[in-house]
Amino acid sequence: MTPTLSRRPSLAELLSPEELTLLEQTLDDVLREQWGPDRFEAYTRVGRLPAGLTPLPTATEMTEGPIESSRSAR
Amino acid sequence: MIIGGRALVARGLRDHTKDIDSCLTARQCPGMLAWLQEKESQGGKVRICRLSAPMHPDWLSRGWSCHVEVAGDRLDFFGVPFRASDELARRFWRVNRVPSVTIAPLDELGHLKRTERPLDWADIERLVGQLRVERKTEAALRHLFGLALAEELIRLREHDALRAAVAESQLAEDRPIFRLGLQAEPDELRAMARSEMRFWEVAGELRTIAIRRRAAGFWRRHGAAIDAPDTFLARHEILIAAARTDLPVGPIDDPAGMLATARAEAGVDRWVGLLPSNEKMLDQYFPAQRPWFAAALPSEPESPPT
Repeated sequence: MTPTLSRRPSLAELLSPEELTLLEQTLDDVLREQWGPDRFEAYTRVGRLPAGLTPLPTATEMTEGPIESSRSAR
Repeated sequence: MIIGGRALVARGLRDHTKDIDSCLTARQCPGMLAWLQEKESQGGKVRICRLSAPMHPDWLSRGWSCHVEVAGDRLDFFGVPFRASDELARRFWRVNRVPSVTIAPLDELGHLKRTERPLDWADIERLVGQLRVERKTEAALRHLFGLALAEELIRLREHDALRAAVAESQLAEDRPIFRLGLQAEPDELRAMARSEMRFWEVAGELRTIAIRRRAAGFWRRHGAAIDAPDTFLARHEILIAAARTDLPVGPIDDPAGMLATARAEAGVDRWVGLLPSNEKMLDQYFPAQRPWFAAALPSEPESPPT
Protein backbone atom coordinates (compact mmCIF):
# COMPACT_ATOMS: atom_id res chain seq x y z
CA MET A 1 0.00 0.00 0.00
CA THR A 2 3.00 2.26 0.20
CA PRO A 3 3.66 4.47 -2.79
CA THR A 4 7.15 3.10 -3.47
CA LEU A 5 7.40 1.01 -6.61
CA SER A 6 10.57 -1.05 -6.03
CA ARG A 7 9.77 -3.23 -3.10
CA ARG A 8 12.01 -4.67 -0.45
CA PRO A 9 10.84 -7.76 1.44
CA SER A 10 7.99 -7.56 3.90
CA LEU A 11 8.43 -8.63 7.50
CA ALA A 12 6.26 -11.67 6.78
CA GLU A 13 8.82 -12.71 4.16
CA LEU A 14 11.78 -12.11 6.44
CA LEU A 15 10.54 -13.63 9.70
CA SER A 16 9.55 -17.14 10.73
CA PRO A 17 6.07 -17.65 12.21
CA GLU A 18 7.62 -17.81 15.69
CA GLU A 19 9.49 -14.56 15.13
CA LEU A 20 6.33 -12.90 13.84
CA THR A 21 4.55 -13.95 17.01
CA LEU A 22 7.38 -12.44 19.03
CA LEU A 23 7.05 -9.21 17.02
CA GLU A 24 3.30 -9.11 17.71
CA GLN A 25 4.02 -9.60 21.39
CA THR A 26 6.51 -6.75 21.56
CA LEU A 27 4.01 -4.46 19.85
CA ASP A 28 1.22 -5.47 22.20
CA ASP A 29 3.45 -4.88 25.22
CA VAL A 30 4.49 -1.44 23.98
CA LEU A 31 0.97 -0.34 23.05
CA ARG A 32 -0.42 -1.48 26.40
CA GLU A 33 2.33 0.40 28.20
CA GLN A 34 2.16 3.56 26.08
CA TRP A 35 -1.59 3.84 25.73
CA GLY A 36 -2.45 2.51 29.17
CA PRO A 37 -4.54 -0.63 29.68
CA ASP A 38 -7.93 1.07 29.20
CA ARG A 39 -7.10 2.64 25.87
CA PHE A 40 -5.32 -0.50 24.75
CA GLU A 41 -8.40 -2.59 25.51
CA ALA A 42 -10.66 -0.05 23.81
CA TYR A 43 -8.58 0.17 20.65
CA THR A 44 -8.08 -3.55 20.31
CA ARG A 45 -11.63 -4.56 21.18
CA VAL A 46 -13.31 -3.08 18.13
CA GLY A 47 -12.84 -6.23 16.10
CA ARG A 48 -15.48 -7.81 18.32
CA LEU A 49 -18.53 -5.80 17.39
CA PRO A 50 -21.72 -6.12 19.43
CA ALA A 51 -24.22 -8.77 18.33
CA GLY A 52 -26.26 -7.67 15.34
CA LEU A 53 -23.59 -5.41 13.86
CA THR A 54 -21.65 -6.54 10.84
CA PRO A 55 -18.34 -4.88 10.02
CA LEU A 56 -18.24 -3.43 6.52
CA PRO A 57 -15.65 -5.29 4.48
CA THR A 58 -13.12 -3.40 2.43
CA ALA A 59 -13.96 -2.74 -1.19
CA THR A 60 -17.27 -4.52 -1.05
CA GLU A 61 -19.67 -3.53 -3.73
CA MET A 62 -22.97 -2.17 -2.53
CA THR A 63 -25.97 -1.78 -4.74
CA GLU A 64 -27.54 1.39 -3.38
CA GLY A 65 -26.79 4.87 -4.65
CA PRO A 66 -23.61 6.60 -3.53
CA ILE A 67 -24.77 8.79 -0.71
CA GLU A 68 -27.63 6.70 0.54
CA SER A 69 -25.25 3.79 1.01
CA SER A 70 -22.71 5.77 2.94
CA ARG A 71 -25.42 7.00 5.26
CA SER A 72 -26.44 3.44 5.96
CA ALA A 73 -22.95 3.04 7.41
CA ARG A 74 -23.61 5.60 10.10
CA MET B 1 -14.70 5.42 -1.65
CA ILE B 2 -15.48 6.65 1.82
CA ILE B 3 -12.44 8.06 3.60
CA GLY B 4 -11.97 10.21 6.72
CA GLY B 5 -13.95 9.91 9.91
CA ARG B 6 -16.92 8.25 8.22
CA ALA B 7 -14.69 5.32 7.24
CA LEU B 8 -13.74 4.89 10.89
CA VAL B 9 -17.37 5.07 11.96
CA ALA B 10 -18.25 2.44 9.38
CA ARG B 11 -15.67 0.14 10.92
CA GLY B 12 -16.82 0.75 14.46
CA LEU B 13 -13.65 2.66 15.35
CA ARG B 14 -15.41 5.94 16.10
CA ASP B 15 -18.85 6.89 17.36
CA HIS B 16 -19.56 9.80 15.08
CA THR B 17 -18.20 12.30 12.59
CA LYS B 18 -19.60 15.58 11.39
CA ASP B 19 -19.17 15.17 7.65
CA ILE B 20 -18.73 12.64 4.87
CA ASP B 21 -15.41 12.56 3.01
CA SER B 22 -15.20 10.53 -0.15
CA CYS B 23 -12.89 9.95 -3.10
CA LEU B 24 -14.53 10.01 -6.51
CA THR B 25 -13.08 8.64 -9.71
CA ALA B 26 -12.85 10.95 -12.70
CA ARG B 27 -15.77 9.14 -14.28
CA GLN B 28 -17.94 9.51 -11.18
CA CYS B 29 -17.79 13.33 -11.20
CA PRO B 30 -20.58 13.95 -13.73
CA GLY B 31 -22.83 11.39 -12.04
CA MET B 32 -22.30 12.96 -8.64
CA LEU B 33 -23.05 16.43 -10.02
CA ALA B 34 -26.27 15.11 -11.54
CA TRP B 35 -27.19 13.42 -8.26
CA LEU B 36 -26.65 16.66 -6.33
CA GLN B 37 -28.80 18.54 -8.84
CA GLU B 38 -31.51 15.92 -8.41
CA LYS B 39 -31.33 16.37 -4.63
CA GLU B 40 -31.81 20.09 -5.10
CA SER B 41 -34.71 19.53 -7.50
CA GLN B 42 -36.35 17.50 -4.76
CA GLY B 43 -36.22 20.49 -2.45
CA GLY B 44 -32.91 20.27 -0.61
CA LYS B 45 -30.73 23.27 -1.37
CA VAL B 46 -27.19 22.28 -2.37
CA ARG B 47 -24.75 24.97 -1.30
CA ILE B 48 -21.23 25.04 -2.72
CA CYS B 49 -19.08 25.84 0.29
CA ARG B 50 -16.48 28.59 0.35
CA LEU B 51 -12.94 27.38 -0.45
CA SER B 52 -14.32 24.63 -2.67
CA ALA B 53 -12.75 23.74 -6.01
CA PRO B 54 -14.83 22.42 -8.91
CA MET B 55 -15.93 18.80 -8.93
CA HIS B 56 -13.86 18.19 -12.01
CA PRO B 57 -10.91 15.83 -12.68
CA ASP B 58 -8.54 18.66 -13.56
CA TRP B 59 -8.67 19.94 -9.98
CA LEU B 60 -9.59 16.85 -7.97
CA SER B 61 -6.73 14.84 -9.49
CA ARG B 62 -4.12 17.28 -8.17
CA GLY B 63 -5.21 17.52 -4.55
CA TRP B 64 -8.05 20.03 -4.53
CA SER B 65 -11.36 19.05 -2.96
CA CYS B 66 -14.96 20.05 -3.55
CA HIS B 67 -17.26 20.81 -0.62
CA VAL B 68 -21.03 21.05 -0.64
CA GLU B 69 -23.75 21.20 1.95
CA VAL B 70 -26.97 19.33 1.26
CA ALA B 71 -29.80 20.16 3.64
CA GLY B 72 -27.29 20.80 6.40
CA ASP B 73 -25.12 17.73 5.71
CA ARG B 74 -21.56 18.52 4.70
CA LEU B 75 -20.10 16.38 1.90
CA ASP B 76 -16.42 16.67 0.99
CA PHE B 77 -15.31 15.19 -2.32
CA PHE B 78 -11.72 14.35 -3.12
CA GLY B 79 -10.13 12.76 -6.18
CA VAL B 80 -6.50 12.03 -5.45
CA PRO B 81 -5.80 13.33 -1.94
CA PHE B 82 -2.31 14.25 -0.82
CA ARG B 83 -0.39 11.27 0.55
CA ALA B 84 -2.64 8.82 -1.33
CA SER B 85 -1.12 5.45 -2.15
CA ASP B 86 -0.55 4.45 -5.75
CA GLU B 87 -3.59 2.19 -5.50
CA LEU B 88 -5.87 5.07 -4.55
CA ALA B 89 -4.30 7.45 -7.06
CA ARG B 90 -4.62 4.97 -9.91
CA ARG B 91 -8.22 4.26 -8.91
CA PHE B 92 -9.07 7.84 -9.86
CA TRP B 93 -8.32 7.10 -13.51
CA ARG B 94 -10.00 3.74 -13.65
CA VAL B 95 -12.10 3.50 -16.77
CA ASN B 96 -14.06 0.44 -15.76
CA ARG B 97 -16.97 0.82 -13.42
CA VAL B 98 -15.95 0.84 -9.78
CA PRO B 99 -18.22 -0.22 -6.92
CA SER B 100 -20.55 2.64 -6.06
CA VAL B 101 -19.46 2.69 -2.43
CA THR B 102 -16.41 1.21 -0.76
CA ILE B 103 -14.74 1.94 2.54
CA ALA B 104 -11.07 2.91 2.36
CA PRO B 105 -8.65 0.26 3.67
CA LEU B 106 -7.15 0.97 7.11
CA ASP B 107 -3.65 1.20 5.71
CA GLU B 108 -4.77 3.88 3.23
CA LEU B 109 -6.50 5.84 5.97
CA GLY B 110 -3.29 5.79 7.97
CA HIS B 111 -1.46 7.61 5.16
CA LEU B 112 -4.25 10.13 4.65
CA LYS B 113 -4.40 10.99 8.32
CA ARG B 114 -0.80 12.16 8.70
CA THR B 115 -1.85 15.78 9.07
CA GLU B 116 -1.58 18.70 11.48
CA ARG B 117 -4.81 17.80 13.30
CA PRO B 118 -4.56 16.07 16.69
CA LEU B 119 -7.85 14.27 15.92
CA ASP B 120 -6.21 12.59 12.96
CA TRP B 121 -3.35 11.30 15.11
CA ALA B 122 -5.91 9.93 17.57
CA ASP B 123 -7.51 8.15 14.61
CA ILE B 124 -4.12 6.76 13.61
CA GLU B 125 -3.85 5.19 17.07
CA ARG B 126 -7.25 3.59 16.57
CA LEU B 127 -6.11 2.29 13.18
CA VAL B 128 -2.95 0.83 14.69
CA GLY B 129 -5.06 -0.93 17.32
CA GLN B 130 -7.40 -2.36 14.71
CA LEU B 131 -4.57 -3.44 12.41
CA ARG B 132 -3.07 -5.25 15.37
CA VAL B 133 -6.42 -6.97 16.03
CA GLU B 134 -6.43 -8.09 12.42
CA ARG B 135 -2.86 -9.36 12.88
CA LYS B 136 -1.56 -6.97 10.21
CA THR B 137 1.48 -6.24 12.29
CA GLU B 138 3.63 -4.70 9.58
CA ALA B 139 0.85 -2.28 8.65
CA ALA B 140 0.37 -1.45 12.33
CA LEU B 141 4.08 -0.67 12.62
CA ARG B 142 3.93 1.46 9.45
CA HIS B 143 1.51 3.80 11.19
CA LEU B 144 3.15 3.78 14.60
CA PHE B 145 4.60 7.18 15.52
CA GLY B 146 6.09 9.16 18.35
CA LEU B 147 7.01 7.71 21.72
CA ALA B 148 5.21 4.42 21.10
CA LEU B 149 7.40 3.93 18.03
CA ALA B 150 10.54 4.78 19.98
CA GLU B 151 9.69 2.26 22.69
CA GLU B 152 8.90 -0.40 20.10
CA LEU B 153 12.29 0.10 18.46
CA ILE B 154 14.00 -0.12 21.84
CA ARG B 155 12.28 -3.48 22.39
CA LEU B 156 13.08 -4.74 18.91
CA ARG B 157 16.81 -4.37 19.34
CA GLU B 158 16.75 -6.91 22.14
CA HIS B 159 16.00 -9.54 19.47
CA ASP B 160 18.63 -9.97 16.76
CA ALA B 161 16.33 -11.58 14.22
CA LEU B 162 13.65 -8.93 14.59
CA ARG B 163 16.16 -6.10 14.44
CA ALA B 164 17.81 -7.45 11.28
CA ALA B 165 14.49 -8.10 9.55
CA VAL B 166 13.05 -4.68 10.30
CA ALA B 167 16.19 -2.93 9.07
CA GLU B 168 16.08 -4.88 5.81
CA SER B 169 12.35 -4.53 5.16
CA GLN B 170 10.31 -2.19 3.00
CA LEU B 171 9.19 -0.57 6.23
CA ALA B 172 12.71 0.84 6.77
CA GLU B 173 12.81 1.94 3.14
CA ASP B 174 9.62 3.98 3.53
CA ARG B 175 10.43 5.18 7.05
CA PRO B 176 14.20 5.10 7.67
CA ILE B 177 13.64 5.58 11.40
CA PHE B 178 13.02 1.83 11.42
CA ARG B 179 16.69 1.45 10.55
CA LEU B 180 18.36 4.48 12.16
CA GLY B 181 16.37 4.13 15.35
CA LEU B 182 17.69 0.64 15.99
CA GLN B 183 21.14 2.10 16.67
CA ALA B 184 20.35 5.38 18.43
CA GLU B 185 20.54 6.00 22.15
CA PRO B 186 17.06 5.93 23.74
CA ASP B 187 16.84 9.68 24.35
CA GLU B 188 18.12 10.41 20.87
CA LEU B 189 15.64 7.94 19.43
CA ARG B 190 12.73 9.63 21.21
CA ALA B 191 13.83 12.97 19.80
CA MET B 192 14.04 11.43 16.33
CA ALA B 193 10.55 9.98 16.65
CA ARG B 194 9.09 13.31 17.77
CA SER B 195 10.80 15.10 14.94
CA GLU B 196 9.65 12.60 12.32
CA MET B 197 6.03 12.99 13.45
CA ARG B 198 6.41 16.75 13.58
CA PHE B 199 7.40 16.75 9.92
CA TRP B 200 3.95 15.47 8.93
CA GLU B 201 2.27 18.03 11.19
CA VAL B 202 4.24 20.95 9.76
CA ALA B 203 3.73 19.77 6.18
CA GLY B 204 0.00 19.55 6.89
CA GLU B 205 -0.07 23.06 8.34
CA LEU B 206 1.81 24.50 5.37
CA ARG B 207 -0.44 22.70 2.90
CA THR B 208 -3.62 23.86 4.65
CA ILE B 209 -2.45 27.47 4.86
CA ALA B 210 -1.44 27.53 1.18
CA ILE B 211 -4.71 26.01 -0.04
CA ARG B 212 -6.89 28.22 2.15
CA ARG B 213 -5.07 31.35 1.07
CA ARG B 214 -5.41 30.50 -2.61
CA ALA B 215 -9.05 29.39 -2.36
CA ALA B 216 -10.04 32.34 -0.17
CA GLY B 217 -8.71 34.80 -2.74
CA PHE B 218 -10.52 32.99 -5.54
CA TRP B 219 -13.82 32.97 -3.63
CA ARG B 220 -13.48 36.63 -2.69
CA ARG B 221 -13.23 37.45 -6.37
CA HIS B 222 -15.88 35.04 -7.67
CA GLY B 223 -18.10 33.99 -4.74
CA ALA B 224 -20.97 36.36 -5.51
CA ALA B 225 -21.12 35.27 -9.15
CA ILE B 226 -20.95 31.60 -8.23
CA ASP B 227 -23.78 31.92 -5.71
CA ALA B 228 -26.07 33.86 -8.05
CA PRO B 229 -27.75 31.20 -10.26
CA ASP B 230 -30.86 29.39 -9.08
CA THR B 231 -29.75 25.83 -9.72
CA PHE B 232 -26.83 23.85 -8.37
CA LEU B 233 -25.54 22.83 -11.81
CA ALA B 234 -25.61 26.43 -13.02
CA ARG B 235 -23.69 27.54 -9.93
CA HIS B 236 -21.16 24.79 -10.52
CA GLU B 237 -20.77 25.83 -14.17
CA ILE B 238 -19.91 29.34 -13.03
CA LEU B 239 -17.42 27.86 -10.55
CA ILE B 240 -15.70 25.88 -13.32
CA ALA B 241 -15.63 28.85 -15.69
CA ALA B 242 -14.08 31.07 -13.02
CA ALA B 243 -11.62 28.36 -12.02
CA ARG B 244 -10.49 27.93 -15.62
CA THR B 245 -9.13 31.43 -15.56
CA ASP B 246 -8.27 31.98 -11.92
CA LEU B 247 -7.68 28.75 -9.96
CA PRO B 248 -4.51 26.80 -10.79
CA VAL B 249 -5.19 23.08 -11.07
CA GLY B 250 -2.37 22.38 -8.63
CA PRO B 251 -3.13 23.84 -5.21
CA ILE B 252 0.50 24.11 -4.10
CA ASP B 253 2.85 26.33 -6.11
CA ASP B 254 6.09 24.81 -4.95
CA PRO B 255 5.65 21.27 -3.57
CA ALA B 256 9.39 20.70 -3.14
CA GLY B 257 9.79 24.02 -1.34
CA MET B 258 6.88 23.18 0.97
CA LEU B 259 8.47 19.89 1.98
CA ALA B 260 11.88 21.51 2.43
CA THR B 261 10.33 24.06 4.81
CA ALA B 262 8.59 21.26 6.72
CA ARG B 263 11.88 19.36 7.03
CA ALA B 264 13.64 22.44 8.34
CA GLU B 265 10.91 23.41 10.81
CA ALA B 266 10.55 19.86 12.11
CA GLY B 267 14.32 19.55 12.53
CA VAL B 268 14.49 16.16 10.83
CA ASP B 269 17.74 16.94 9.06
CA ARG B 270 19.54 16.95 12.39
CA TRP B 271 19.78 13.23 11.61
CA VAL B 272 21.09 12.28 8.19
CA GLY B 273 18.53 10.17 6.37
CA LEU B 274 15.79 10.27 9.01
CA LEU B 275 13.33 10.93 6.22
CA PRO B 276 13.62 9.45 2.74
CA SER B 277 15.22 11.64 0.07
CA ASN B 278 13.48 14.83 -1.06
CA GLU B 279 12.54 13.07 -4.28
CA LYS B 280 10.91 10.18 -2.44
CA MET B 281 9.07 12.44 -0.02
CA LEU B 282 7.76 14.48 -2.93
CA ASP B 283 6.53 11.25 -4.45
CA GLN B 284 4.90 10.13 -1.18
CA TYR B 285 3.21 13.44 -0.42
CA PHE B 286 2.16 14.62 -3.88
CA PRO B 287 0.71 11.86 -6.06
CA ALA B 288 0.67 14.24 -9.05
CA GLN B 289 4.49 14.29 -8.89
CA ARG B 290 4.78 10.54 -9.48
CA PRO B 291 6.32 9.61 -12.83
CA TRP B 292 3.30 7.63 -14.02
CA PHE B 293 0.80 10.32 -13.09
CA ALA B 294 1.32 12.66 -16.06
CA ALA B 295 0.83 9.75 -18.42
CA ALA B 296 -2.48 8.95 -16.73
CA LEU B 297 -3.92 12.38 -17.41
CA PRO B 298 -6.37 12.02 -20.28
CA SER B 299 -5.53 15.47 -21.62
CA GLU B 300 -4.21 18.76 -20.48
CA PRO B 301 -6.91 20.97 -19.00
CA GLU B 302 -8.25 23.68 -21.23
CA SER B 303 -6.34 26.91 -20.66
CA PRO B 304 -4.75 25.87 -17.40
CA PRO B 305 -3.80 28.90 -15.34
CA THR B 306 -0.18 28.98 -14.30
